[in-house]
Amino acid sequence: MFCMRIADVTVGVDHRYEYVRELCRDYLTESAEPAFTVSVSDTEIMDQIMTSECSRGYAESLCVFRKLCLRLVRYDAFLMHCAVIAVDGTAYAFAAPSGTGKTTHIRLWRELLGDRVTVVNGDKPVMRFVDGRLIAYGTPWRGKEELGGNVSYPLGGICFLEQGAENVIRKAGMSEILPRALRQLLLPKDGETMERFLTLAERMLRTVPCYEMRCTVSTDAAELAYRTMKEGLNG
Amino acid sequence: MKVYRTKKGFIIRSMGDEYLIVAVGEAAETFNGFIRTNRTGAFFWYELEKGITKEDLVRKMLDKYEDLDEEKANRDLDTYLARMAVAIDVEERAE
Repeated sequence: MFCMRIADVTVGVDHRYEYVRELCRDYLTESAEPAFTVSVSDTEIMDQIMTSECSRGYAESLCVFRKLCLRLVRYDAFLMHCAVIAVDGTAYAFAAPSGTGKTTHIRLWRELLGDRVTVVNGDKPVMRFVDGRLIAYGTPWRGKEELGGNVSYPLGGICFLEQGAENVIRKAGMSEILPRALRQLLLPKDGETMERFLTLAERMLRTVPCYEMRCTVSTDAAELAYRTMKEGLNG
Repeated sequence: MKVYRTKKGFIIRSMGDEYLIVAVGEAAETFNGFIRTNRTGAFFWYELEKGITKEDLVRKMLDKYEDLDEEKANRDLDTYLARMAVAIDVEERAE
């Protein structure tokens, strides 16, 4: 059993394999009073191994993350599958189907903006409403490239990426973006959590500017995305 | 007489200008996703939650939407039921 701070919530993990504790090393806390504790059964670990073909420890870590993200819904927080980078104190999220350029986009922003760029998380950040603002938090789960750290910034925009022959970005309304947004989110299974989760998702789509972008692999794409999303911050 | 009814575990919720149907509890074990629908679709859903025959639902549609003729109502309802098939049960009941 260990305790960690994730999205400013102290959570306990009743673990079996050391892998998950090692994964969470930058998030450990001495506090022994978690808001809740998650544990994973052997059956759940075996089921995960069947789908992901991975080690027991890795399977446990995936199950732990899924469980704690669903429990975090009660704290106005949820998992969004995307990459998040921060520039000058504001976070920007990039969502795209797996393997279609999130990591590349991070690299392009770094080429364009250098040290002004902080990677919050390359794959699985947690979003949480705090005092009326949606904050993007780093998590120990950050994709194959292991990009990101234990940092958090208010989210200034979400960009849904597609590969294209030229760079085009446009602001998208809630109903246009809803199905793509929901596919990036981990849906709860119990009714009460689902209700709360959908309220949070709706609030995110209503309050955070969303964009659709088709782009090439170029710093021009990063420049267009950054400039558009930065301008979008002021309404 | 066939009675159409929403399956246990499927719930509807407004989301912006539209509606989402999602699965919770046991239903979520087999259906992990969402179905989008509009206000008319939500009207059908609320009737289907109570359990209703196609004939009765068509009648309600005709009452509610003045411009609608019976043939189009039937066609719209069939399209809707086909799209919602995963979330709707059909019970055979004696008249």
